[in-house]
Amino acid sequence: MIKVLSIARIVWLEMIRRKDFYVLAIILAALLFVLLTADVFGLGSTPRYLLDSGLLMAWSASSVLAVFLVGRQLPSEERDGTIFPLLAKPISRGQLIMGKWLGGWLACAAATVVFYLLVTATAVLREWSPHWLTLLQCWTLHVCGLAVMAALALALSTRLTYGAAATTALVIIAGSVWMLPQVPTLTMYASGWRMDAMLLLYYVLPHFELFDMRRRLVHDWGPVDWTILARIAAYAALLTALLLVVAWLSYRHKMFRRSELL
Amino acid sequence: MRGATRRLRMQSLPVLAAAALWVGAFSTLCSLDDYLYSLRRGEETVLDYLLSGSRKALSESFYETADLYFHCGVPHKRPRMFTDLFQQWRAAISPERHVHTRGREVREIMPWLRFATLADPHNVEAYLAAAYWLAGDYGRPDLALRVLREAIRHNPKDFRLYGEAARIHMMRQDKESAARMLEVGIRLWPGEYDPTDREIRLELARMLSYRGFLYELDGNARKALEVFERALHMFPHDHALQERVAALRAGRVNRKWAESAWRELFPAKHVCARGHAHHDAEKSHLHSHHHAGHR
Repeated sequence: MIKVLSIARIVWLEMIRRKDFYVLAIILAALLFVLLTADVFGLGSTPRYLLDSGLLMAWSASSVLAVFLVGRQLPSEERDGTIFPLLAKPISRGQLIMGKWLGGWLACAAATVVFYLLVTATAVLREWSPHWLTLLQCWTLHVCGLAVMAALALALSTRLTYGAAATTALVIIAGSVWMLPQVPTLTMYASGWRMDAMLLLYYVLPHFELFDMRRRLVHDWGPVDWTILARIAAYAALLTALLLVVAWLSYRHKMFRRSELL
Repeated sequence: MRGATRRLRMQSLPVLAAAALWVGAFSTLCSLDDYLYSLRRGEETVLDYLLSGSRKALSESFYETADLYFHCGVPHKRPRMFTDLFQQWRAAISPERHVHTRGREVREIMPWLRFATLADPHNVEAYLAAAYWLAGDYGRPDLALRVLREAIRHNPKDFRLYGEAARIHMMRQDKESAARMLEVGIRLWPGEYDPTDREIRLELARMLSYRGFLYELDGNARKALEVFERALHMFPHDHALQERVAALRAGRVNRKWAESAWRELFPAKHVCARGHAHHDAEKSHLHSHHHAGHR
């Protein structure tokens, strides 16, 4: 476990050292400022659209961060040749996979806290009274979603280059978010192989829409039942574990040749 | 010699291609009458014209979001082929009930309507919805009129905007402005809309009824009868119109009744410039075809 945590710490330090997080936070702050100063028919405070748009941006920023941060871990180690000294140490490939995922996920979760603080502060400026428990649940499910995204990017990066892994992961995430919730309706108008293909995607791809509690928070529906929250969190844990196993299976016998890599 | 000819041909190819493109672009431009018309009026830029399709789609999307906000975040129920665990969890997170925003909370739909009008200034529905709710539940007819002024600037030929402006002027008991707006609205009807459409005919009947009522208030029975008869001709089975026409034909013009009805229908309201209008806490939900949820 200490070995896993040591690798996770390096990933964490990398996020602090690199500029991705700062750039995303600055973009988020700038967009929130633009929304804050927008004139809405001469009306005063209208906090919900600000909160909604802010959380949507936080979702986008954290997803991009998770995919790019975790997706580049293994390919960059291989490209720079640092994979050799790393694997020469007494750590298994499973621990390496686990450490990379854990570090990336925790770093993204921490970045999401900053994004949420920014959004909440802006909405409070516009007279929004936060429901803290719902906000906490919203963040919890968001972080669960990030765990799956990070595992997906890592699994893809074991066999693909950094660019290909990140792009494929983002396409899968965007497709799942926009398409999967529509499948039960779309299948009414499809038949034959089209319907089968849609159903296959529906049950194979991760349901990221389950981790999005924005609407509930924005429209003051109150906290969700804890049992539902626990079930969705368990679903995220199961998906993450599955993807990490896939990543490990794909990486455990991967051969590196110094002459090809350097 | 052959090489020189070939080189000359190769060199002239880009020039020929550019010339062909220019001729093509010029011909296309000349065929775009609407574009040239709007360009002459200085209303739209080339970019506006090129992006009009995506702007309309974006505007519609914002309008849909306003509708979602009006229903307190509950989306429209769609038919589904099956229900499974994922959908049950989703339903637990995002409840599916039929609820509406009430009172001053209606301001929450305004940013999306604003974005809809910014994305496409020709989205008249968005302007009408914003004006309706600002003047109604939000209690700021002054802001509603400002919205409609902007809408009319962008869509000067849409009669519905004048009809709505007239209604709000009547709410503010400004008879002269209301009459002026109604005159323009009636003159512009049906514009680009289908005159056989029931909704569009209803709009005209409504404007005519308002105009007739204003004539009655001024004691001009002849003109009032004229417009009420026109409205009755469109909807011959409307009892209220039948009664009004019969009364006017019989010379039963009661100005006092008209004035009391005017006060009852359009009571004077205090509108505070800071937005804290006198507002009923439990005002019943007003239904209108204008609001975002019921197009």
